[in-house]
Amino acid sequence: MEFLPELTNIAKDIDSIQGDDLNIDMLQPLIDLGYLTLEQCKPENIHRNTFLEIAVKQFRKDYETYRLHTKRFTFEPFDKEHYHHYRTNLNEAETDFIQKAVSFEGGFIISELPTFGKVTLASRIVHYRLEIFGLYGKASYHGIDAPFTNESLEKLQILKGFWEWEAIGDVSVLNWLGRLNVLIEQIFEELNKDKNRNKKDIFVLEDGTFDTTRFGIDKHDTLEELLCHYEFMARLFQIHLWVNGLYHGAIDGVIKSNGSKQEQRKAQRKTKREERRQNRRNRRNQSDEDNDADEIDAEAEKEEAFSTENAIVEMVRYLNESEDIERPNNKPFEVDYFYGKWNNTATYRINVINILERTRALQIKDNSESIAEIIDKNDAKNNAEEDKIRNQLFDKNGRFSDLVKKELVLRKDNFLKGTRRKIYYGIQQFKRVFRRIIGVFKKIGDFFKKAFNVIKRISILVYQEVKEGIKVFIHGFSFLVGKRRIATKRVPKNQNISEIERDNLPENIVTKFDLDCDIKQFVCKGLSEKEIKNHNEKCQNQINSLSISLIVTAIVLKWVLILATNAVTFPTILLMVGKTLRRVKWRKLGHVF
Amino acid sequence: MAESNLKMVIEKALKSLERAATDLATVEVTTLTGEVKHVLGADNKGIDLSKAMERLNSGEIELVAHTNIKFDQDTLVFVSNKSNDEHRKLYQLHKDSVVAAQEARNAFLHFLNEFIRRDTL
Repeated sequence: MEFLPELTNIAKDIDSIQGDDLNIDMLQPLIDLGYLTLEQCKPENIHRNTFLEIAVKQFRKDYETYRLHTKRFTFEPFDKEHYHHYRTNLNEAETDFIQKAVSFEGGFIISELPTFGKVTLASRIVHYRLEIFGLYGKASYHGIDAPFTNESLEKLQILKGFWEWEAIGDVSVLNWLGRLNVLIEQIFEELNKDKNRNKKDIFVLEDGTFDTTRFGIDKHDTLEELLCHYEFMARLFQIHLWVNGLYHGAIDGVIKSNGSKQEQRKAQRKTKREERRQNRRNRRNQSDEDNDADEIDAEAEKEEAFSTENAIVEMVRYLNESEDIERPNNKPFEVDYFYGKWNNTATYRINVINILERTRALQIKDNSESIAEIIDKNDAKNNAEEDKIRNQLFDKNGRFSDLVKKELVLRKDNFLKGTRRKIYYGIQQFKRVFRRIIGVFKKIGDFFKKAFNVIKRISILVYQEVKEGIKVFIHGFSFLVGKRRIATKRVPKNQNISEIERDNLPENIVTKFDLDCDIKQFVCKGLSEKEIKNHNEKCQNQINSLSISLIVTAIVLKWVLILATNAVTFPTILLMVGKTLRRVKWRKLGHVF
Repeated sequence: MAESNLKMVIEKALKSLERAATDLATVEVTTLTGEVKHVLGADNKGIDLSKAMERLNSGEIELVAHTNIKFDQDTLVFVSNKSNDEHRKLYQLHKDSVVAAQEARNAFLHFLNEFIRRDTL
């Protein structure tokens, strides 16, 4: 088989793993910003396409107002009709933008408060930030998509009062909320002040409710302020872990203990085992009984894997294995140092500040732009660990392995459950963290490897990078060696026709590009202005995309020519296109997007 | 194995790129119109552009416009002398296509530049 058709088949396979029906990378931020609800975009919702169309249209309107002028892109093949797909899907540039808008790395800076009484992109982003930090959205009339009013900032004022930030403008604090590093630094600064020393712990009961009786309450602080602060800090802590790839549960400010659940599970397991031994001894063997018990454990552990307590335990392991994280007296950290029972009472103390402080080193600068780059040995040192990771991600035929497919299915399930954070969409911080995790991963034993779930975490990110990269590369490469022909067919009005019927319709307009970019085109007589305009926009979208896809193609082709023939395997090409697109987008040609 | 064919594919592509690069000095855009039945290919679905070019002098196919832009921006434009609404729409499409051709050429020049430069991202 020829190279390009084979690569195209791989790209189709990659696409089909996740499918078009649930593009989580686009849907999650649209939900976060209140353009859509989870119920509206579920595959079983019969009005799903209508909701998607409305959401995409509204976002596009807001986005274009914000950006004033925006180019439209498509990396669909030249000969594929992409126009109808556009109505319910964001393109690559729009998806990048919306992901930045919901990230916590300063991806969207607000220069002034949103217009009062209006719903704008800025009002949605402000509401989203406030809501995720527990400062908005409790009352029934509040929603991310509600008009921006004075009430939007009510809780922010309480928080400002607690930290005595009254002199600081609302816009500044709202921007801190969108830039986690800065926010944490501001809180550290406050805690260095003597009067605030007792504000670094928060106290919770086993079920996650706040225990306000333990706080050495300052007479100036009200209970309302304290609760607001507790929830804010609990959420800040969860967001911090989430952004650093250590937590994937809900951002809800609820920090429960798994302790009694584990005890319950042990007891449950013992009882079940006993029952089965008694009742089914003659029918089933010992290994089946063990499997049953293991299933109970696996199910419960699956849920616990999303708990905040689990994230803390994992974080402590991680901190103890990281060389550049300072430890007091060079002793390993204990979980109790951050989280544990308070003076033998039923209360748990969470030292949020210790956690934030000890994980500060995570923010050190690293130049990697993509996960694909981290594990692509052709660009890094030839390392056996990277090889192992690659072998787990790809099967012998160069396709993504079953492990990756399983993770993507799990991701879909989790998304549809609606209570868990999935992937953090920040750009820089995430990559740094993963390089570090891989660094740690290289040194430690199997137990910790399992705990860190490195492969599972990486697999989705690599999948996303490769899926996007391969599409762009094929777009550019096809321009060089393909037909470069854009055609429009006349689809009869008010008729729902199948893809096959659509394929059989005669063409009405054809635009053909030569490789030297000369154009020949034919337009059938009697077409409406709208039909001609649609075709023209299709051509324009394709040409806009060429500025990116041809650069990516040039870099990849150059690399392939440099490599020895036996090193040009499909996984190499896939990782290469993934990392190249990221580099092109974020470092060199960022302005194009 | 297909993977190892990649180098051959690239080398083959490079030869055609070489030819294209020599022709990048000019941009030519040609827009034609007519009844679609005269230009359909053998499958009766797809438009055959070479057939359309061949029939240009037969009276069945009309030339809406032709633009030739040289590297130094010297431009030659031929426009049909018809001035009805239909032609106005088609001429607008032609003008947009000239811009698209220039943008595509710029993207292609960037490609060549990226491909031949020694350093990389």
